[in-house]
Amino acid sequence: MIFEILNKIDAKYPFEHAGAHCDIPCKIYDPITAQLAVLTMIRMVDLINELTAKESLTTEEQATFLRLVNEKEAHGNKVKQEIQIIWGDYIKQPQLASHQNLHSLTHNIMLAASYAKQYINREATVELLDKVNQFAQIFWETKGVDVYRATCPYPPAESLVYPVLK
Amino acid sequence: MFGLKLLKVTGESMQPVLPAGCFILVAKWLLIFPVKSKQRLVINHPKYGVIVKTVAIVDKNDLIWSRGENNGSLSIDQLGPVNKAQIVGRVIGVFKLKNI
Repeated sequence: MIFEILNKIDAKYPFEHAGAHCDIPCKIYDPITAQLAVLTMIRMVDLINELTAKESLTTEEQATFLRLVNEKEAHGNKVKQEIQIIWGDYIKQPQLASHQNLHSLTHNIMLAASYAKQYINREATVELLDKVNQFAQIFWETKGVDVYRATCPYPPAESLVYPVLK
Repeated sequence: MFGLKLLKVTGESMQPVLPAGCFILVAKWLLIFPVKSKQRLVINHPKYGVIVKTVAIVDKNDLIWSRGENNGSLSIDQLGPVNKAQIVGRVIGVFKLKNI
């Protein structure tokens, strides 16, 4: 009864709020952020390879090289963080029961992301993308959403798993 | 009035203890007593504004580390420590719909 009275008072004279914050808006999960982070890593490797193909680098180009490496590192961490959030917060027993490889796939993504961070190796980043795409496919399957594969319409023009949301 | 304040809870990180939309009665004067873990506090957080959280631990420097009540909450590390001056009050009453 007290709740109903307070609710009526609140409708007319709103009380101050105390937020019970979530780390992201609750129940909003999407693997696209991880997929985009891997694409960024691939793009950084491509740009680094363009630079290193030159015989010598100007000071400006050396600064660019450092920025590219830093971005590759940062996005490697982002991939790991975004996958961990979905794995830790969204994935629960029903999803694990229907996709029993989820733990090992997640662990493999962590390893592959570390490897892709460690080296300037395009193949390693593409392999990471493949694993993250597998993860995205499972994620959308757990939501009952069909997926399709398409080449992203921007560099590095790699294949991504997208949800069919029509 | 009497060092008491009524606040409405928004967000879901304190569910099921404090579901979104419930009202909490907060006492400032209770802060004359030591803060202990598992108490629910309203904190004036420098980054997140006025929030309600559960005390995880009070460290040896008297800094208060807090947490939510479910895994959707900001983590203890993300929330970081606060000092007693940032505490708005301790939750002493909860008014919520009976079926939530």
